[in-house]
Amino acid sequence: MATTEKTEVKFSEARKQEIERIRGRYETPRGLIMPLLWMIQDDYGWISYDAMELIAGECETSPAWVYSIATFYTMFELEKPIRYHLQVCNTLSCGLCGSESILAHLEDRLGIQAGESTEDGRFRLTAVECLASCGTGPMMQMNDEYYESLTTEKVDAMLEEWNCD
Amino acid sequence: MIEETKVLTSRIHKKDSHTLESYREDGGYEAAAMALAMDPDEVTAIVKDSGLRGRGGAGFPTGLKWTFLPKDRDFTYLCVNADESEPGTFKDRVILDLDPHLMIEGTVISCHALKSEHAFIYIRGEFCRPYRRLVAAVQEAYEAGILGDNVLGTGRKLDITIHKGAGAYICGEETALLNSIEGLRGQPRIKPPFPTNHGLFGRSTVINNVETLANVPVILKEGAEVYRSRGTEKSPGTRLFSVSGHVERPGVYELEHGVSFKDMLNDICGGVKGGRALKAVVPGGSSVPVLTAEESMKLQMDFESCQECGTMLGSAGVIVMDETTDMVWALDKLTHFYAHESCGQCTPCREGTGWVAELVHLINQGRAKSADFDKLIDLGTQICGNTICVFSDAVFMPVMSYTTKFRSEFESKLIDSAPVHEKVGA
Amino acid sequence: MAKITINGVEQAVEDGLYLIEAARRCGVDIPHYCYHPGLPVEGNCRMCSVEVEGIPKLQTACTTIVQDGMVVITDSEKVVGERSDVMEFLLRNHPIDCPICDQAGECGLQDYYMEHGLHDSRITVSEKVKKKKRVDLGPNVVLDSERCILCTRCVRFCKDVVGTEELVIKNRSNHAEITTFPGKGLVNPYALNTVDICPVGALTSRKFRFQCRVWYMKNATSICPGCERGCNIWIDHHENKIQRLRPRLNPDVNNYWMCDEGRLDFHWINDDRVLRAEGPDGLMRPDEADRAVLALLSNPGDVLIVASPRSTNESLFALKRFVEVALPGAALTGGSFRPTGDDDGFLRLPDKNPNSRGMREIGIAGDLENRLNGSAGVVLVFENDLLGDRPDLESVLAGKKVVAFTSNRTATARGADLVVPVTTYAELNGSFTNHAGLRQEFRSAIRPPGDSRSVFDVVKSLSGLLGKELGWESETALTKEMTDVITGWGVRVEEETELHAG
Ligand SMILES: Cc1cc2nc3c(=O)[nH]c(=O)nc-3n(C[C@H](O)[C@H](O)[C@H](O)COP(=O)(O)O)c2cc1C
Ligand code: SF4
Ligand code: SF4
Ligand code: SF4
Ligand code: FES
Ligand code: FES
Repeated sequence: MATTEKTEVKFSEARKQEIERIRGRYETPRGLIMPLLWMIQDDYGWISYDAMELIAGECETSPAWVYSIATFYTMFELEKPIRYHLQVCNTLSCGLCGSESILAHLEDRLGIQAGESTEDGRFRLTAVECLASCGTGPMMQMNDEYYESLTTEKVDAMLEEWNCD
Repeated sequence: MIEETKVLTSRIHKKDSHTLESYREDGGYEAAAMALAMDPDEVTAIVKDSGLRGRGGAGFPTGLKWTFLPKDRDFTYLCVNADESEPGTFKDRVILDLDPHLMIEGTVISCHALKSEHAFIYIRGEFCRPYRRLVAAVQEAYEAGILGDNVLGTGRKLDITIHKGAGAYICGEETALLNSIEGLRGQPRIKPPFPTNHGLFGRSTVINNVETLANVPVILKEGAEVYRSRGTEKSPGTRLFSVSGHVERPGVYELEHGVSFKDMLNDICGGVKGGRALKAVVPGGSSVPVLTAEESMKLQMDFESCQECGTMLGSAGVIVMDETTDMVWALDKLTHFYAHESCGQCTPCREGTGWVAELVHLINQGRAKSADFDKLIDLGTQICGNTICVFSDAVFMPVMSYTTKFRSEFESKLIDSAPVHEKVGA
Repeated sequence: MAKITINGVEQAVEDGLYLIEAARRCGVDIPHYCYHPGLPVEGNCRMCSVEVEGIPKLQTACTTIVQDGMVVITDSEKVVGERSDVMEFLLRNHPIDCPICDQAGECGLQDYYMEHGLHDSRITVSEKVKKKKRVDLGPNVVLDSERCILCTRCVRFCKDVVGTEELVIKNRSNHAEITTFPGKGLVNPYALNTVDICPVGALTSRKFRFQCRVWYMKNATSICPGCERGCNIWIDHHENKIQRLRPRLNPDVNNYWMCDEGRLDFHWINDDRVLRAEGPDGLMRPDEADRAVLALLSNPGDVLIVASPRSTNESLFALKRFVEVALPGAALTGGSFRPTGDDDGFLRLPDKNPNSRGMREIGIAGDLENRLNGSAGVVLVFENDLLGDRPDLESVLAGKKVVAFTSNRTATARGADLVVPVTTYAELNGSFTNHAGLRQEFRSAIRPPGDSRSVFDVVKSLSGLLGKELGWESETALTKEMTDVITGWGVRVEEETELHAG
């Protein structure tokens, strides 16, 4: 950790207390891996290799094991965070309601393909699988929030807002 | 003209329905107080008598599952499956978001019945507002003495731990869910041993769906008999149907089991979108066999009727497709999903789902030959039946039903197909 | 005991066995990839599926525990069909580059491919999922991800056997891949075992890569001389050179495993050997050498004989008899200045000599340092690199006549007045007694190079020249007497189970 110039990853005092509170809830130290991955992601926006080593230490496991868990799931951000991560659901129900045209519209407006990020690193566009909001499709998740019953007009309005920020 | 039967969803339209205060105004936690005064086995007996069946997909009788716990167990966990990820299903999210205390009360009662002092709630990682509300509700419950070391003043103990998923459909499978909590890869376990014997951290464990548990306070409050008065003999009670796709009014609707699909479509959902003709229906989440419009018109929405119709009620996620739908395209969407979500441990599923998705995609793009189509059909059977979990069946069923029932649409997209079929759909 | 019927034949097997193991003991091999008897079961490859009467679905033999009355079919059309399905899936993303693969000849995939493989050329051939072709996982192991079938044997080895959890699977679905933590290697001291257990050519030894085709090699049962654990090994050799060492199953000693250090420590047997005896006047024939030694033995009281815990029991026993019978008055001592290591809680033990316990039990005193500092003017050093291990002893030996009986050009050999070549353990039938007192026999794998003789032959010849008899016609007679007199050595342990049990 000391050899890199990156910001040092650590758990704040408040986090440490929180960790001690939940530690007893898991019968094995490994059980804390996902909660700790979330804490790091919530605090830093992403999970660096240094963070994985930190977590491994807390969970009495190897960094490799933490890496294996982190890559199993799709929500853990293992690259530098993006200001706006647009995740458009492209599974069947949303598809029936026109998710493909929303996706195409976003690709067009942002000038990137799904799976890519804009050059300024502000936007990333991802086609994701069903987000359990099929009744209000097409929909997308932007960072933490759901945006439902999308139309191209709605999408344009959102982009307008986010672009000004 | 049929209407909704709002039993579980009676409160969700109220202001601040997610708070403890609002829940208590409507008699919240009275059923729990009542249950905790009873013998645990008595509570189990009532749930058993109610005929409640699991809402997570398999429809297994809940009370019966509870009795599988070994008598001499040392510690019991209840895991609440709030990982809702079956495409077309979005009803647990409604409970978590709008009435989390209903589910928590169900958990309190169930834990009493199971003699469990610790419940985990495994909530889907993408559920942000529902997560925040669930966390707040659990916090409220602790503060109000509903959880903790003295549950509702009875001296009993109960902790609830919320464990947040992180984007993996397979973690909805109950043993993958357990592994995920334990900090292992979210891969299903080999069964036996079953969770009731060897579950979370090796302890006796029961896993139930959110909606299943939300039924429990209702059952305790009104008794098994009244509960059974709704729905059918073998599928008692109401059901939260998630309706999506080509309907005028998609959404979550609470209806009695056994309601006819036709009534649901027309009376509740306002019919097929734009008045177009119906083409196909998936009645129970993306993993169950698709029905043609004709088949669906005879369908009743309960476990048995669905089975008779050659499909399953599953998670009651109803996906409606109108005449403009290209069924090859639809299957392409689904197989893409499954290829992405296989946990990857079993050879046939890991390699097979990817292959299936690729073939369907090739066909959809008009780049496949008839041998590819034959191979697709073969793959369906090759993947199925030799895997650790039933995910492979979930791939198999759509593939077989779409390709059989809408075969001509597939054939018409093949490079070397005889041009006898009209191209159907968009 | 449970009675089970496999393919129509009723057999009695131990309770609690996995079906795959029970079947193997009944002589029925069930094809498998992920199952390995030394690892926890995972049941992921699905290759071992068989029919069990009364259960409609096929059952994996590696996860099913035998039950009394179980009726099993392992060769029905359904089972064979399932197997070829699994093969088809495995081969879909497999490069099939057998001609350049080290595993060729030992590959589970290649074997079954020949038996079950099928290809339908009518199907649109799509891109195979591309993965990394050559990744150095650490100093010793190379990974080819495209060849990997994700059986997780290597993962389980690191997690459950060594406890380092260095290898893991990243990602899921068909993007799953074996990896270490980014920037870290597979550095545990047992890493090369993953190469043994990898059922395909995904993990290969960096040292062994493309050196010798496995089908050319012959093998001999042996014991690793690397430490006092005495791991059971195979010596694989070709054209009288050792190609590699591999662990050989012994549940009481090393199970299926050995350490990398022990495994890689064989080049000294192939290279840099002393081929001819050598004295101040140059090279000598063996008989010349023996007479030169004899010339130094005129005053036994001035002679110190240094034995080594690296020698076999047989050599040590012969040496002791030689002193007693042919050279009474000479001092015999033994011991080693080899630097010690750690007990790592798994296999590796601190004492880096294979036969310290054997030497003790034979009754050779370990007062080496004292004796060297004594007055003896002639020192016969048998298989002991005193100066290599302790360069400071040079001054101690300076005034003495030193004869080095050695296989290699060690520091001791370089400082000796007379050098006589002897065999290594790989060229001998013999035994070591490990730290736990287990005497373990091994067979010679290769022919002794040059004029190398066994210590037994050397001392036999010397006694002859001295007009004395050691009293054994052959080494067999020596062994018999030795095992008769030393308590506990009568039991011979010779396990010849093949490593990949099936
Ligand atoms: C691939 C797969 C995915 C599943 N996903 C879910 C899910 O998201 N939510 C759920 O409640 N059950 C899901 N299940 C069913 C669970 O394994 C389990 O049967 C259920 O949670 C039991 O609860 P119940 O008896 O109350 O329905 C899934 C099953 C499989 C095979
Ligand atoms: S069937 Fe698929 S999802 Fe289920 S355990 Fe096997 S690989 Fe994983
Ligand atoms: S590298 Fe070899 S042992 Fe490891 S998972 Fe792949 S095939 Fe199995
Ligand atoms: S542990 Fe000792 S005996 Fe075993 S292989 Fe290593 S050095 Fe040889
Ligand atoms: S299909 Fe888009 S949220 Fe379910
Ligand atoms: S050997 Fe049994 S599943 Fe792999």
